[in-house]
Amino acid sequence: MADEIVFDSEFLQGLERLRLVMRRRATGAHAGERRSQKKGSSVEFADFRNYVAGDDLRQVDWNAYGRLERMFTKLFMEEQDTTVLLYLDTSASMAWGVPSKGLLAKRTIGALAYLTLVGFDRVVIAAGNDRLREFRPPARGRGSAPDLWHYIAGLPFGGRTDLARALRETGRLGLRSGIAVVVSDLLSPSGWEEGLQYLCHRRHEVTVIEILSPDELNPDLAGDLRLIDSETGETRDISVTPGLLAAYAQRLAARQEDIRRFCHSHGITYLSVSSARKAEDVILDVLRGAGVAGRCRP
Amino acid sequence: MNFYNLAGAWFAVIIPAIILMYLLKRRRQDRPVASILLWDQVLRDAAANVPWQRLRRNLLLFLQLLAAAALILAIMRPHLAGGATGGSVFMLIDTSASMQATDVAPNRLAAAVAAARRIIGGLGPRDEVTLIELGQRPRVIVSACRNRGQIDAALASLRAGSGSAALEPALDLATALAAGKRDASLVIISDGGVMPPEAGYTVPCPVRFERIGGPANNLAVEVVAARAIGGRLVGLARVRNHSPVEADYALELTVDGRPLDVRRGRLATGQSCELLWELPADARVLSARLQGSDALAIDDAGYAVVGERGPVNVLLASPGNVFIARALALTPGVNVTNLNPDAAGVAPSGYDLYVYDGALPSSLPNAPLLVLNPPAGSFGAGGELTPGEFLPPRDGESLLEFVSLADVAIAKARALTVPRWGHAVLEATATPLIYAGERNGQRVVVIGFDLHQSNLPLRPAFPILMQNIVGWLLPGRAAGARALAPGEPFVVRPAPQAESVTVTTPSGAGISVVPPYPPKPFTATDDPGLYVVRERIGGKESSSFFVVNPPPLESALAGADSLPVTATTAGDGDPLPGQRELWSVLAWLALLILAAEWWVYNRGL
Repeated sequence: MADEIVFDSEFLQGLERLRLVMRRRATGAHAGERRSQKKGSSVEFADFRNYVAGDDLRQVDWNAYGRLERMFTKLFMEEQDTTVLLYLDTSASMAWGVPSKGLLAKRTIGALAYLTLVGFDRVVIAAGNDRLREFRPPARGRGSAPDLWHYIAGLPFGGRTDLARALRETGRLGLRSGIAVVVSDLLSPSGWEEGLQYLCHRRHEVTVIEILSPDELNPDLAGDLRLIDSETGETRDISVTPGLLAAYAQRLAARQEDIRRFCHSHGITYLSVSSARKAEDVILDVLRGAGVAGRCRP
Repeated sequence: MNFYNLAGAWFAVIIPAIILMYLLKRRRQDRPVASILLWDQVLRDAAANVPWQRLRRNLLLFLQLLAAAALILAIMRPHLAGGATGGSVFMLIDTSASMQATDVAPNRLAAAVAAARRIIGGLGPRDEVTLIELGQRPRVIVSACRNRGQIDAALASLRAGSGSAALEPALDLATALAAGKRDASLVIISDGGVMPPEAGYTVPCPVRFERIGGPANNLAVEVVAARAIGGRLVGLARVRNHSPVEADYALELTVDGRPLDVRRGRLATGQSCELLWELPADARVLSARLQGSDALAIDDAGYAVVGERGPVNVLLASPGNVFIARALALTPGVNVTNLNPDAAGVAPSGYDLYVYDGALPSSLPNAPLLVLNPPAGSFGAGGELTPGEFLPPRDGESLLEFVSLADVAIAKARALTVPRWGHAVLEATATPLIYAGERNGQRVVVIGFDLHQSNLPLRPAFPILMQNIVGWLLPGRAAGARALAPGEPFVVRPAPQAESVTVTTPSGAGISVVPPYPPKPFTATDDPGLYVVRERIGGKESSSFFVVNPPPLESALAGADSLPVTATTAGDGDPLPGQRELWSVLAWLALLILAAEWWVYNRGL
């Protein structure tokens, strides 16, 4: 898929006011805008401690010394950057649907990448199907956005899905704990749980965006059909009846409830969107509504 | 269980058709989807919930096949036969001439037999069948029979006759046979062309009329006759169109085997026309035949005997009775020879009829006799007396036909005793006056009074009476009427000296009638046509004729839609004893199965 990912400036301005919310303290290597667990040089006061030799005299609280004749060193919160892993499922099933699930996924990833870059965080793009296929090293700074978008747009869809294996393989990237956003249809024969669990294990704050096409949410089928899997080519014969469609809807709802419950218990944010929605809506409404992206601090 | 409509089994081809459609339907429409993962789970769930899910598609097929089977069975009209006791079915099968009609292939009788077989096939093993041939005279061909083979053979032996079908005697017979039978029912298989009972008929059991055939194209020769009009011999034929449409006819007239004329014309439905020909003076046998063919062949020809050429010789031994001589001479073709009673000591031979008035010869000739005023002691005659009032004559007495005795008076008569071989024709309060009978194989009429003692000879009744008497004494000769209905016996009256008499039927078979004496009536008159009677006297052979014409009633092929026969029991009609039709149950069942199939399909079970 070579769709260029283009956002209008209004949307980009909107994005600039947003940031990915991180519940934990960041553990970045570079100074960034996120409060880290480390105390360091920022404007946000954190604590006092007794002066020891070698401390920066600029940090000594001279007012306290005047009153108490003891030297205290002021401690400030160190602000660090964080790494945001954006994982795109590029299995063949993602290229499906009208409108395409893949397009929405790419635009969502692209928007999230921009959001990350303007937030002075590092962004890592990873893409995989039955294993990790593509990886773009961390990028920083707003200026990287067009390159990233171009890169994202050029990611090809194809192959089978093995979400567990592909996500496990992100471990080899050696990323620090940070934010991980997985955009997938979660239609993985090997299951979706294991991969997400692995990301949690890597101490990422995980967000799962499940994208399903309208014809997956509400199949418009009738008669006797031979369903052909776009990934495996396997077939299933079905005779579509109202009963069967009802069973499908029931099954889909149960599955999403399973995912939601799993994510809740693992501290994962779960979103399910239809590919009929626009990426803008997904970012502005859904992510914000779900608390994944929030307004940046003034 | 039996079936009324076995041919309905042909509808069973729908079952392989349904299966074939299912096989063809297996070519499903391909539909690529992103992933079958969800569908897999759905199908697995469904399979887990309903154990027979895998059979679901097969369940639909199964239900459809079941519905089709139920419908086919319903079409075949099955019925449960027979209670424990079984019933009695009385089946009247029309074998009249109209059953030869070929409007129903191969002919109506075959269709009737097929209908009978179908009905019998539907009976239970304990039901008994009585087959009655509905012809001119009813005939029981199988009585209370449970042996299907025997019934089948009897049905196969049925032949359509050339006579009419008299319904009433057959119903009488069936009713009599059915008396005391439990669960009896009556089936009349006919084309409706029967002689119906005059005032309806009520039978004490359910009755069902199985009608065979309907209106069909048929032209019929209704009447063929010859008359002497003004000294010329004129032949007459009447043709009637019984077809439901206008029809052209071509009638060929044959005289003594030689074609005389062909007349053509057109007749509207139900219309008839009479055709006249002048015949040669020596014509003896007249036949009229329609050319072409129609549904019923038997009525396409008619025959008539013009009348006997040979004169009838009558010997009158009378002391000058003018009345009797005149009356005898009135009959055409009669030669009367007067003989003085004195000379009648020995009867001269060679006469066809001997008339003795007042006196008798010493030995009576073996020939038809008319005896007037017999001497006391002979022919049961006694002394003279006053006879008194006439008693009303017996019904249907042919000798008194058209004879009015209202103003007839008799002054004196001999007291008569009717011998055992005779029966009284006319009786008065005191004595029988006229009797008739067959003595030694010859007909004899005795009038027990002197004509001079009565005003009878002066009354119009007298010539008629004499005509009747001569006609009766010399049947078919003096009377000249020699046309019979099919099956009607022909009474052979050979000349006293005849050595042999042979009748040749229309089919050419010669049947010897005499010897032995006395001859039995000739009954093989089933086939319409010309019959030749050959009489050999003293080495010389003379021939006379009689003809058999089919009854005109049979030509109307349309028949009646219903017969005036009703059942006293309620619900006259259809089901034969102990039978219960199941088609409605099956039809409901098919509907239920279809509903179930619809439900299964919609619920996607």
